[in-house]
Amino acid sequence: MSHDPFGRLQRAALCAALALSGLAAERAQARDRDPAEEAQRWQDVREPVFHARPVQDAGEEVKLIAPDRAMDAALVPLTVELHAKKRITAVTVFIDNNPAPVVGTFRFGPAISPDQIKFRVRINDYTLVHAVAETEDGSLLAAEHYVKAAGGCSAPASGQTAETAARLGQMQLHRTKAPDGAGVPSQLLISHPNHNGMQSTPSGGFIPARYLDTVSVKSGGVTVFDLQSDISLSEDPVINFTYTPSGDGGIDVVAHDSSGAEFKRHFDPLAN
Amino acid sequence: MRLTLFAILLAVPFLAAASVPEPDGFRMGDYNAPVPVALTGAQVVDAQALSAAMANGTIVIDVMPASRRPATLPADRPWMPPPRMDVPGSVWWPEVGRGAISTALDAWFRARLATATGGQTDKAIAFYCKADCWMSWNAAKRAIGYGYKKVLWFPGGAEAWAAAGFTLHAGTPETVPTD
Repeated sequence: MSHDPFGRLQRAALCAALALSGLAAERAQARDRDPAEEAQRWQDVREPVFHARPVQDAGEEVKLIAPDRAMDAALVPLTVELHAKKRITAVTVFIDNNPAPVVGTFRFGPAISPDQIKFRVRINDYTLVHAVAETEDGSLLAAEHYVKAAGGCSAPASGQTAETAARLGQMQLHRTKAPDGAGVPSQLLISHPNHNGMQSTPSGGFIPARYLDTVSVKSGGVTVFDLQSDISLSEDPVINFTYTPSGDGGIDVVAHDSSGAEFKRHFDPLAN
Repeated sequence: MRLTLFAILLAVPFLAAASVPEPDGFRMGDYNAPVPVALTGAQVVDAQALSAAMANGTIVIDVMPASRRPATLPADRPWMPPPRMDVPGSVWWPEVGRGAISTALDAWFRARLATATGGQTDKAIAFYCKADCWMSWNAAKRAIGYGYKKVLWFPGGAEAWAAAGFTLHAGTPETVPTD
């Protein structure tokens, strides 16, 4: 008899259990990427937006920062860093394998300080994500990142309560003070469930789709950006951007949703 | 000796963690996870057995959820769900494998089954979705609850079908009630 049957047996059992659960996890996650299929899909999803216009690799001019594997497929943070030599007029983001692949387009106005934009998206399956920046001369610069996430579109909503309804369309704006003349890093939060129609209720029904379709941000009447979005944007959208204060430096946000509701909010200029 | 027995008792929870127990009711969420090896009242089949059963007239049902285009989505927004590659000859009935389904969906599921089987509850029916997906387990359990006597469950799903050398094709989901 061994000196330590207890430890040995327990270790053996533990190893067996870990090996088995490891196998299951491996099987669930193993997914072969097919470059030809990915390239074809990317061409298919961008065609309705850019038609036959050439899209070039952005290199260092546009960077897409995204997790390799998302912790929550319904809340995947994306950051688009903009370092283009020419002025950027718009950024469009695609989740290639989502049923609605276009997350949205940010059209920049004169009051944008285009260093980066950040927001959260739903991802339905393992996919390439593309960010395409359009420059003033009409060039399209694309950056991509492969994200392992699944189930973001049918993930349960965090709740549909009276409280959610009461705060529908409420907004907050967090700004970081910047030196005179410099861009003001900002974070806009809009309370909205952004229901995509695929989220089920505990009783087995489905919550009807209701999502933000436009968000317009102006500073002193000058456009920072106009966002056209739909169901791939996560619930309670959070958008980080940087603006150059115009006019009195105040911010006006107007958001509109697919049910025809409009939400407006004015934020006073940052106090000195 | 007693020490060894004690060790085995301690080891049991670790081994149990590796095999998933059958819940009493339906799986209510987190569907994309390892499944039990069995379903009480159903026959578990692999790809070869499913193929043989199909050849003998078994009705095969894919229960993967399907994307639905919101009616309010502007016409110029691309709507391009990637194709769902499933078993040729199977029907695709989305959503019937959720833990809770609406009264309307329950009625739809019963009616479709009744039509497909010609009202014969001893007609063989098989359910699948994909690997590590509880929706086929739930749907098969639900059909057993309806009184179907020959229910097959193919836990390997479309991946196992392809891995066995059979071809897949792009499925077309039937429209289910969503209210």
